[in-house]
Amino acid sequence: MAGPSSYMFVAAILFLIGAVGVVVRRDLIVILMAVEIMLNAVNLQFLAFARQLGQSEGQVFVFMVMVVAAAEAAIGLAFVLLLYRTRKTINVDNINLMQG
Amino acid sequence: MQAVFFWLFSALAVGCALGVVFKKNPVVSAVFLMGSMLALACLFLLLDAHFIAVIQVLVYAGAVMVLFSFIIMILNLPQEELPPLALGGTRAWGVAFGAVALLFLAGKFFPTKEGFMPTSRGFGDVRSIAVPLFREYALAFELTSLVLLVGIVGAVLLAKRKV
Amino acid sequence: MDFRVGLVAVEVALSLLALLFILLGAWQRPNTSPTGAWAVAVLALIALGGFSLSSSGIDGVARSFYGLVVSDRLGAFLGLFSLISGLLVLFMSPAYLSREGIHKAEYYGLVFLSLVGGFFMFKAASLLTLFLGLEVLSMPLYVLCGLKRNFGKSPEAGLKYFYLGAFFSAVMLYGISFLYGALGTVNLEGLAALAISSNRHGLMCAFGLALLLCGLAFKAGLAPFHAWVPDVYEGAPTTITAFMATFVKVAAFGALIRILFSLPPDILPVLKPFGWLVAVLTMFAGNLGALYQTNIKRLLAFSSIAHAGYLLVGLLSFNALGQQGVLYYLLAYTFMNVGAFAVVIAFGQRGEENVTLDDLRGMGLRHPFLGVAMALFILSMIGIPPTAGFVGKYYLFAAALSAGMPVLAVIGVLNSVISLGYYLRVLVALFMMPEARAVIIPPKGFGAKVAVAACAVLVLWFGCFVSSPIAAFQGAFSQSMLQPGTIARLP
Repeated sequence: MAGPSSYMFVAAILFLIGAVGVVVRRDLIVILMAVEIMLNAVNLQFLAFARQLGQSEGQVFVFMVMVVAAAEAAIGLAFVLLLYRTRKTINVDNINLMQG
Repeated sequence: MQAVFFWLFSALAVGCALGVVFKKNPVVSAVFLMGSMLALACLFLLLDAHFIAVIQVLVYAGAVMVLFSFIIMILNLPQEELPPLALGGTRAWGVAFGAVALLFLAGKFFPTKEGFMPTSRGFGDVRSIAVPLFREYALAFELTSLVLLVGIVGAVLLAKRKV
Repeated sequence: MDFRVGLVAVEVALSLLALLFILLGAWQRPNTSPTGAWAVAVLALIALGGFSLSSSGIDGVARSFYGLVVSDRLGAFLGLFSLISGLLVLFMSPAYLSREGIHKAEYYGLVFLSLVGGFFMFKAASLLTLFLGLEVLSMPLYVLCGLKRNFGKSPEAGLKYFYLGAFFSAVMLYGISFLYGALGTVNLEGLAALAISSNRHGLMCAFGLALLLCGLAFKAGLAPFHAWVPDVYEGAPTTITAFMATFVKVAAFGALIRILFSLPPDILPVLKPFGWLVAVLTMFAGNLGALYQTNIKRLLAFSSIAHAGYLLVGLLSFNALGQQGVLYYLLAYTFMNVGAFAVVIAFGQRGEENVTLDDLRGMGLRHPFLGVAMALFILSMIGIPPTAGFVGKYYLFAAALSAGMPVLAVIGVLNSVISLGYYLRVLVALFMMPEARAVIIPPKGFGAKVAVAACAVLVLWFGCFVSSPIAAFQGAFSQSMLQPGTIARLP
């Protein structure tokens, strides 16, 4: 039987994959995807707890997180587009005008 | 039966997530991300979150992924201009940290045998979300509308050629 | 039905005005300035500030919207500080924005929306409101940071802020989900049931709280999550830098206060050593980092990290002195920081902003008004009487002493001494060095000068007339505490 702990475990794995992706990848678009994976892991955990507690509060929270994630994707991709237009790069390592 | 489905879709979600992070081409990553979202939607169904599962498919696997693929197509980066995965050097610490954290989690939070209690009738359907959404959480709902507004205005301000 | 809109009247007004400005932006012709929008924004902030000031005298705690929002004196004070910060920033905005060619009505809309987010952060009675407030606060700031689209550093600053912000809001959400699972609610009242132990429930609580606090520490610019501050502050338009340095700190500390004061008393001894470490790290990271800066915006960014460390010292002492000190210092810090950035703007010119210490050489003598005002702000940041910064710092460190943390107070004072190293360099450059260039560009921007003058007067005013604000801040926390009496039970 799969209970809350199983879902927590899967959510933790997904969250870590996303976090590692943010740290490891150099591609701005893929980093944004990795953040989406992290948010999805959070959603899974919220829903598991909502199911366990039998309340819809957690589901409402997930609904809000989804909206925020969509807005974040819009802003993030706009930044990627802006950067690519001015600098012809989507590589994190080339974002280095300010240092020291 | 539920357990079989749980482990099947979990494996799918995790496998696709790994694909997102460790494939060099963003188009491939995007397809894997969609796979991960869909597998997660199935997990949401197993959790009786029917409405959220539908939204997951519509909003994530639909709208957000379309946005991603649009941007990938607009940029249309040639293969040789794609940034490297950069797994070497300091980045390896990231992976090492992830592995250690995972081991820790596995030690502390390893799945137990317990299952879920049965839920009340109607749990997770549209009504059970809509009623609190427009009553207890009406203010939060309005706040999300502000978030979306900023998303729209901000994207235009940043990316439109001539504002 | 529990919709008492009156309790969120300021937020509603701000949101509606933001909508108006965004609409006005759609009809704005290229190369024109939205002077009307600016005037409306200034008048609105003055009116709302007056409203907040009058409501800050009212005692009592009111909850509304089914326990999502709490309205009390703490929220009223922090709201007042935010409105003051926004108003001062608005004064210096038109000249700067026109100079940079980004004067759009949407700018005011986004600033107002960000203010709304901040209000909901420090008026939150639920982690859901807190999280959404954080997002409403952050998203406009990401955009505003990147608004100077043609100056390479600005989009980079926005992008950096956005990516780190998105990452940390995911981390924070993960923490909230653990707390939800462990406590069964996301209400701040529910945090009172928090218990840290080595069993599953205790670990979930500990994990959730730690991740939640990490997310807020990132927003407040506390070490070890401070690395983004100098880069983002340098690249962002200077008006937005001033806004972020003051208003975001107010909002992030407000949210921290809400969370820390909802925790059960027996968690605090566990939390204190970590807080102690973070405060010390933050102070040293800010002050040591600033020693090596030649760009005044970066220097002020590092100094703002250090100031966050001082604020944390006051917060950690968990006594009445510390609470008054935190509020007083937030107010003083708003004036001196906005003032300093306004001076930077007044000295600047299009594109190349004249922001290295070399550019400032001799400017203090050439432009005595701006020079003297800058000196005043810097003396206030060091903490020299009779400035507001001195009073604030005095309360913060006195609170640490009376809370039995003499080492922390000593480290704080030591850090103030270290900070002399870079603050004095600015003063020396302004007054004791020969002018760097043959041609001096006369500083422009009447609005920036108004902001400078207002900040200078207020820094002196709050340095000399201490008793009435301190009396007003007295009990602002304990009134608003979700469980009355926690302070009394503290060790």
